[in-house]
Amino acid sequence: MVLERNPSGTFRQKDARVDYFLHEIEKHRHQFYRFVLRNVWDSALAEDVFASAVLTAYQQKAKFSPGTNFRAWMFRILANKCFQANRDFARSQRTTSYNDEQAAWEKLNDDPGYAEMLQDPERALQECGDEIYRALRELSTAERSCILLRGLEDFTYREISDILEIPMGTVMTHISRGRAKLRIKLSEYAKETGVVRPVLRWIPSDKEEQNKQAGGGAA
Amino acid sequence: MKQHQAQLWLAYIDGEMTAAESANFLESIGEDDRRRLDAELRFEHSLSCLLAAKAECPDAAWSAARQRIAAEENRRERRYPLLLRHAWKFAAVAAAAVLMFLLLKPSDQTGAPDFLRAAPSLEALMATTQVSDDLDSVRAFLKDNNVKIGLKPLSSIELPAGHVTALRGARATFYRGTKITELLYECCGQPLKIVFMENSAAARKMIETASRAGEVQAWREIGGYYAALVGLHEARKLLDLLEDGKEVAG
Repeated sequence: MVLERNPSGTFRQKDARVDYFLHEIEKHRHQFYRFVLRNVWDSALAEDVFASAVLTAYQQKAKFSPGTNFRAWMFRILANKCFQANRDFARSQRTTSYNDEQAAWEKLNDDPGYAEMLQDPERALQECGDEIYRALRELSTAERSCILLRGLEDFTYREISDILEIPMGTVMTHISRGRAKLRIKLSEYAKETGVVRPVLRWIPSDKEEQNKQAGGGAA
Repeated sequence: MKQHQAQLWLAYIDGEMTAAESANFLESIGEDDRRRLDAELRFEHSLSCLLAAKAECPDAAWSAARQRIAAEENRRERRYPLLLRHAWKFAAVAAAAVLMFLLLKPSDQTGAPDFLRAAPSLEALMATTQVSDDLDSVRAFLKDNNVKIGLKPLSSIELPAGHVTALRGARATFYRGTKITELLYECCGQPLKIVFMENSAAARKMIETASRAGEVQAWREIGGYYAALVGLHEARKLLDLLEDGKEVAG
């Protein structure tokens, strides 16, 4: 047992586990904060959620087994805090949600604006600017968390499944559906603001098509 | 895009396929789809980079988190001082110490009463004498305590060469209502004693138990008594000093 002094002059036990715990959090604090910020979209709220998560982790530090994945353990706490914060926050509007992910991807496949974005995705996304964050905000917390844990933190599907305590198939569904919604939203924005100018294709009418087949000229 | 195909695309983009699975998947799709897949990868990578940018933890946020922890530690310390938090550990250590003492305390090791165990030292033995160490005084002591056993002088027996033996006194005690009389000797600086107990089954059993434990090196029945030689130093000849009911001149 090692003792250290409180500011008041009394003694307290210096807990080696607290030192390790604080060291690990500080090492990854930017990643932890980033996850919270992109999940709750408000910087003031993000600071509060982040501090609350760190305190909860400290209170539960006895449950963490040294040598296991500290990041995954901490992200579970952060995700739970984000879920709570987003439940308490009344969202003003939601776009049409494509809960059928297959329909969403099929729409994207037929979307010339999205096809144009894919020609130069880096430039298109740069020009979308803050719209990316707004589009992300309109996903569900589960979809957003899965996308962030996969895209930013490089967790595998299995690790995300453990962190969020949901089946792996559900993780894949959240990621797929979330990405489709993001792309639809960004494509709409890109077309509206001129980030992309999709090439228009001439679609002949039925009569024109019949004349063409009969060998006649254009109407 | 069919559901299964969509899942394969997802798994490929997220690196969830093995190298062999990736190769098989790429072979199964056409050139247009491969180009599309490549574009999706670039799109996903760019999106991740943009989401990761401009999102560092402000020092103020980290400081606020540390302050909450410090406040929590102070609150815990006020409510549960260090000693109280660890009281259960102290109690467990104390209980273990008591248990070890009870298991290992020397008096229980042989099962013999103290008068049938060797004295810890010559000084301890001599401190218990109730009479001076000359032969006449010791004989008178035996008579006063109704031990009708004659005691010969040391010169009357042949001791092993080099053994220096001396009479050091006598004492009488009671054990569970039975008088115990002891003659105290020294041999080569080591404590020895001859213990007299009246004939009884209980006395015999005690002596036999102490003999098995190595505390009694020799014993005999004489004049209505059991006489046991107690001590670690070999000196069985001392029992030859005893005579039944006769007073022997010094």
